[in-house]
Amino acid sequence: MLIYSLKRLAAAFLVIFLVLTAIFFVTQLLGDPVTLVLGDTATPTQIAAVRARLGLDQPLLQQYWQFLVNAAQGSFGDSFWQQQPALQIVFSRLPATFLLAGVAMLVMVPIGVLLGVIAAYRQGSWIERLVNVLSIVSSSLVNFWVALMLILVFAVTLRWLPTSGYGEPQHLVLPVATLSLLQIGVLAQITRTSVAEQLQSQFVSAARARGLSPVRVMLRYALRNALIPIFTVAAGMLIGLMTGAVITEVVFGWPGIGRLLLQAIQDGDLPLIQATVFVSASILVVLTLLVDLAYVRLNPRVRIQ
Amino acid sequence: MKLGRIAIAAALAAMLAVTGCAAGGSNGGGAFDWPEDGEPGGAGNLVIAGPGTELATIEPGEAGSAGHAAPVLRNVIQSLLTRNTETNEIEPLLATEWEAVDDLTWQFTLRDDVTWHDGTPFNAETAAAALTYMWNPEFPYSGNFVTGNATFSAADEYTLEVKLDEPDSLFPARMTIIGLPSPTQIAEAPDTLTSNLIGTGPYKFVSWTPGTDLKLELNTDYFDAKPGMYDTVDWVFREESQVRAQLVQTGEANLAIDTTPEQCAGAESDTATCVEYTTSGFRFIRPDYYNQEVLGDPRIRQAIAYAVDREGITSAFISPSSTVADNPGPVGMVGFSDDVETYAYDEDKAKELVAEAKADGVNTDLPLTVKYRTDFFPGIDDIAQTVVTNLNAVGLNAQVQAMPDAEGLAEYRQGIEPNSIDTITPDRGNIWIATTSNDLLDFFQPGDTLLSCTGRFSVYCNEDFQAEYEAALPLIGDERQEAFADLWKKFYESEVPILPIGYAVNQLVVGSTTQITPRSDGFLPLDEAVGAHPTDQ
Repeated sequence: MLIYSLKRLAAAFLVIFLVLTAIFFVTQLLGDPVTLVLGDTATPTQIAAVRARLGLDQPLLQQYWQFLVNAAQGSFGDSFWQQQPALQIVFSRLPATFLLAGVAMLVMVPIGVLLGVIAAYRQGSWIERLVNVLSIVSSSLVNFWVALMLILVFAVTLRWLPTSGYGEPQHLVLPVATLSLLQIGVLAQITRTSVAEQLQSQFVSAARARGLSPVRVMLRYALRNALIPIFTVAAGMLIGLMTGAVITEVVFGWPGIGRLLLQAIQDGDLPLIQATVFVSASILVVLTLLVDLAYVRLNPRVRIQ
Repeated sequence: MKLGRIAIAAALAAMLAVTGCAAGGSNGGGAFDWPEDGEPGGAGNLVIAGPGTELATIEPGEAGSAGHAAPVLRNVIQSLLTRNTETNEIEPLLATEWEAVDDLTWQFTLRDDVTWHDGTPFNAETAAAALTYMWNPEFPYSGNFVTGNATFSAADEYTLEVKLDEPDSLFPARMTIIGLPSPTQIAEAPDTLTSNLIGTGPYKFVSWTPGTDLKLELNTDYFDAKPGMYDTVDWVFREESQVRAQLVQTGEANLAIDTTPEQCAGAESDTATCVEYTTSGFRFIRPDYYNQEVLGDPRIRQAIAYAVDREGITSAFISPSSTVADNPGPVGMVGFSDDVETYAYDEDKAKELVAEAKADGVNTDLPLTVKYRTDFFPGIDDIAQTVVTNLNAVGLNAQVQAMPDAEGLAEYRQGIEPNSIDTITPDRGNIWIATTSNDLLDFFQPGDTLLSCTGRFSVYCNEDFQAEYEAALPLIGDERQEAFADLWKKFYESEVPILPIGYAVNQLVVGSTTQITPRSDGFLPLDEAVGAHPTDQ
């Protein structure tokens, strides 16, 4: 277990190094940062001064090395937009992203799994068909459309909820509903398939033969053994939400890192783009690492391998 | 992003249908009291939704003039004079009177009842310090209106004297643009100028949380504070224009700026009204033809002018209430030409001109790229697509390219260094869709930025135009009007330096409990905004 964990940790560091390298070279293609910093009235003298201040007058490889050194120290420079350390700005947006992702997961996972279990348990019934249809519909929706329709119905027409915003519990409802509606279908489908497969297995038949209650058979035998694919899909969803639900954040004016990244790209704010991508990638790597370690707990075969 | 736009269109179509069904059931409306007496303020919190693009800075040059910040922040920082956008006359603001003592000297009599929000007394000495700082061509936006040297000094306590190094009949007009930040802040805390705006206006700056909101509070000491004014202002940023309009519909916001005509009209209900108003700006096409084989031929530029269906574009994508523009500024601009010939949409004529140029050896197959900055203004992507379709229909080889705002701005001015356009490469075949305003209401503004050889955004450099333009610059009154009008007519009809499309029409969604009249320069005069209180009935 320790060696496995260390290997995964080393792989995580390698991924972060590769991400940093990619960030550096890709952002070189976005244009001259000096023009972006100085706007449309810069004189050649000013351009030269800023180029020297940002180290852009150095050879590319030297800039790359300096970028890695600075990144290792948690420094991506000041945002052109807000004139503050870029990493600090990204960290200030993380609570909003984590809150949205966390609440969305708390809503979508229980509902998705419950629907999938019911569908698997009542195979061939109208409930299964209904769950199938709902799953396909919800997984086919476009989040932009869902978000605007939810606003139209629940904010504009019924006046039950605010259209957008951040800070009050009611501001969470529509963005969470948008994200959940899109993912619940996928989770339900995966759960249904996986649980149905387990329900056909011999150990489930044996449990039933021993006279165990249907609920106990489902929870203790079928669902428990069906958890691996469900966990994999749910973890993927969590990673997606943690690294920024851009469209949902934009529509609802939610100040998370997805919206921040979009703004940074629109502004050509290179330090902020680099810091946001770095933090997103780091979240992805950490969560993937945790998921891998959780597999070891969930699946004895991984432990043996 | 394309899929996103298709999704938006589908969602909007569905929404318009649903909204139509729901309008009768709105819970808004009712009777209101509009206070006329009593202490200043009392209307509570004003929520303004918009604009689509987040503020880049709140530094005084940007805030005091045009751009995204101006509609609200000009209520914090003020200029010496203001423009009556109904009559186009310059009127007093921080200065009550002004006169030209001689060709190079102007004097302004200042109000004696003004204080900066940080307590600094407003007088000729402090005003001179503020203007000395702001008279800097390198500042964003307001720097565009700075030309030559100016020395500001106090003639007496409330008389500000300005010495110029060359005559400038537009100097009072410039003083309607340039805001006055606190001289104490300039001297003692210059690092805060981009994050803390200290002015003299009816509202004081409280806080700015980038990506979230900007807060203001009423300046109860303001010389023109009135009962019914809002006590606080919360300016919230929402990128999605449909959501901005809906914020007003639901009563969460009082004003939504920068929506499309359809969204504004769709918000009409018991709780919201759509207000459309023509601005001093205009949408235009800038063919970057300096040194370029295809666009460099005047016949091709005329072909573009005939090929682009400006009337259709204006009606469909600017506003049905907008009109086609054939001048680089609004009616009332000094230099507006009444008798300039329009380029009416004529595909056959455009094809003839392209064929004629091709027969003379112009390689009309060379690619042209219609470029624009994403979300620069509502409808810009539709306009760009239509222009491409129009150009290809007459035998040109055009394609479209959308660019992020900052990257687009950088390329819009790429190769145009101050005082030189010689660095533009011969293969550059860009045709830009853009917009500009004319805050000075004078031909000088588009001339100085878009048409002269030294213009900051100009790719036009015609020696004859330049000579006549420079000769007209010192003129004043009718002579100036006539000279600029003749100049524009002559070169627009023969050269098409730029092709105006249509006058910009802005939309403002106004909540039913708010009274405000937007101005053609985009400024939202919050000292004239009044908030209502529901009556007991």
